[in-house]
Amino acid sequence: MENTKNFFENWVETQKNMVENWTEKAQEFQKNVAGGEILTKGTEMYQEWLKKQQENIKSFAGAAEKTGEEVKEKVEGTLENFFDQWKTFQEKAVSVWADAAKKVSESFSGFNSHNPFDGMTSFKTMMDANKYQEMWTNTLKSMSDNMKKPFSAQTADFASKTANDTMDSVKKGFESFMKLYELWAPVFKAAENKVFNSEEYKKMMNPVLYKELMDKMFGFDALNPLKKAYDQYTKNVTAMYEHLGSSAKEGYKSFKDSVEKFSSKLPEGEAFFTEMLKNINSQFKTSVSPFFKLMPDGKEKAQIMLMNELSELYVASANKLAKLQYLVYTKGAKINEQIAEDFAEKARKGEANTDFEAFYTNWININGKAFEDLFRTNEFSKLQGELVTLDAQIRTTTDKLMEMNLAQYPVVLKSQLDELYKTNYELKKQVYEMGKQMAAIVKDSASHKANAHETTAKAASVKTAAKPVQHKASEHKSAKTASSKK
Amino acid sequence: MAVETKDLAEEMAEVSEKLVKGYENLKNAGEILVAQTPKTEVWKRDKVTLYHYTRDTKPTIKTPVLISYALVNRQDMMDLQPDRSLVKNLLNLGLDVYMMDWGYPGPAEKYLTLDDYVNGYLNDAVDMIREEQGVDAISLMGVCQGGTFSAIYAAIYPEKIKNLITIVTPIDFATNDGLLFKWAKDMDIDALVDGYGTVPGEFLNTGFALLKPMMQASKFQNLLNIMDDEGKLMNYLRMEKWINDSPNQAGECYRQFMKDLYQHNKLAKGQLVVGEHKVNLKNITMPLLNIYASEDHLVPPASTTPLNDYVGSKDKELYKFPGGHIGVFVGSRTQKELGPAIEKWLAARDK
Repeated sequence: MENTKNFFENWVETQKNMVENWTEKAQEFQKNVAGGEILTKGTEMYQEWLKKQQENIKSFAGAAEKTGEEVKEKVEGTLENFFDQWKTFQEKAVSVWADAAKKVSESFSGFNSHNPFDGMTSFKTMMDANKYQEMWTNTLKSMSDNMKKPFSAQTADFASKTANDTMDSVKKGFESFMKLYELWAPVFKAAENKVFNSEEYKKMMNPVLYKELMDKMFGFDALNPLKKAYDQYTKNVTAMYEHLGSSAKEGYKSFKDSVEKFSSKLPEGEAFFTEMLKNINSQFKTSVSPFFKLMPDGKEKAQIMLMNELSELYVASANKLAKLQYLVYTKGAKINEQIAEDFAEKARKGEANTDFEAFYTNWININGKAFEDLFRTNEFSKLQGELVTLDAQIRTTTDKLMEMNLAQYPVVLKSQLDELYKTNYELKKQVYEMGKQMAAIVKDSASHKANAHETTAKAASVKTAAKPVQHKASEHKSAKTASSKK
Repeated sequence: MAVETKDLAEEMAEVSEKLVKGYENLKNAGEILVAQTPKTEVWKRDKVTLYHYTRDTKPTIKTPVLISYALVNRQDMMDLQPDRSLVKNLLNLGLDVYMMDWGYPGPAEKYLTLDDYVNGYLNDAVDMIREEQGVDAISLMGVCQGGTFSAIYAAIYPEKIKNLITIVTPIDFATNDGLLFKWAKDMDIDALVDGYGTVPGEFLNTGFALLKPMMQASKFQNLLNIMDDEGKLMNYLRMEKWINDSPNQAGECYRQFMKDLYQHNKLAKGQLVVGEHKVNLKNITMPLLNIYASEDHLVPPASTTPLNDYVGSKDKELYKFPGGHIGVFVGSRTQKELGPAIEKWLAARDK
């Protein structure tokens, strides 16, 4: 799995280079802010930084460019009534695929051919694993694209929110399913022709596809603290501009345009990551720097320190996330090797799974167990804990920073709201306690009254009860008298 | 060798056909309704509500039962749909049932503590039922985290609880059998609560999803096979609705629960303090029915079963339910076995 290993090592290295570069530039930038040279130095620094970033990305096997193309394709693919059109499209596609599949099958018939020359030609192609993969990827592309395209960033518009969410979940699940299919289809084909072995698999496995599969399976986007922090940052900066009025309109427009452009690319892999850092840096300059001039001198230093802190937190978070993802990717790659070896062995004996869904089930089960084992390790648990902490610290620091910016404007700050909530909570608690005490007093009083009433009633009852006795006694007396009279 | 390219392509075509049918069914799905058993609001304070389920007949078990669900997710799981409702089942078996609804904490509820939940809301609800029903003590049924609350409550106010039933309830947090138990020990809870204030339900759901790493993939596969069956799809959608309906957590309560219980296991050690009360599980002397799920990946048996060793009750029973955490409430076995087992246990102690 040498090519996969190199891929991940390159990937981690690229991330590292990018964040280091970003840190260095951010620090320089902040020094310049403090020195009041931002306007003259900013552009120059940005260009230099951008150049470095581009070099980093170029060294990364063109993966980012590929993702960028996909992003563009998806954004351009926006349609009204998307899912209805998709449904019609799918119905037609079924028959088209059946024909296409037949042609695909025929095109590879050389592997099974009785013609030794055809077979040899195909076998030579087979030996060139990369070309083989490429052939298959191209062949599958038209088919899988047909299925994937409709599941772009669109959201269905069903009456039920749960149905909408489910459709979204189907979309994600389907993308993973297709990624797995793309990855393994060459293996299946090779197995069909009994030329497959696990070493061939290692050459065939496309690491870029594989990484995309893992990203989709684990929703790294959802885990990504940078994305969450960025969202928060965006909200805060937007709120700040909105409160600043007309003088900030120009800056706000530029910020908003940039955010919208950037947001359209959020769900992607490398492109997302690099764009993320680039935009944070860029937005940092364009959106926040003008307000240094508005800030009293005493606060500027504290603000810059906070920004430094925030930059460092972003970088630390990016590095931790890269490490966590690396753990997942490498674990997954090992599992796939195992699956390939098992598959090769079964294929050799003619016992391999006969349908892709059965293969998918087996793949899920093996991966599920292996990843649970990985998640149980101290290394994963600690990394995850550190990421969550960094995410929380980014939030806290961002809040502080925004409060510093907004402190001099007539807006209610988050900390002030928190104070209000706290006071409200404490007062309500006091009222509640007093209410309980009051209820207890009322209850005691009622109980006391009831007791008093009961005592009076008892006394009265004793008196009343005594009367008949007296009566009886008097009756007795009367009777006695009467008797004596008799 | 049966693997053929054409077969694979045909399989993909079949997948597509299923998706098309499923799409139609999803499009036609109306509002997804859960928790439809009739009930009346009988008490409310802040965002917490107490419901009393409606009965057409007099209960055959006279001691009323209060169900205290977890703060995580919603109590609707107990009444997901008419044929998968433990609540409805218990009503049919003759119980008089009340339910706590903890509501949806917002930023203003970030300061609510464990003390507020146990000595405040839960205690008020218990008192309200005692008063309404004219009884000294009620039966308390706690589920998951709501079971932990119930055990704490029963230890503080043993005189108000006639019977205690705990279902998949974490008590001993020293175990690392469940991933949550392990991960929680590596979390900086203070940083988390300070950062979020009110901890988002989405954050918790992300963690739950990772407990079964291939869940998304297997869910897709299962969904694919049922999407064209309207009835099964509706069952699936109700469950999805429940999963995604995840309230935020009041920050201070979350802080104490995670630090004192998950990280320091203070309840099992007898060191937990809630408000002015030190919680001693030995004070639980009433009859105890402790129900646990043998395959529970959220709250492993190693955390639930020790309760029977910690309490002071002489009348105590451990009930093993074969299945997972959620299966306890919605599995067909629940309706056939668990409901009647609870009724039988309570009936024997309803004198």
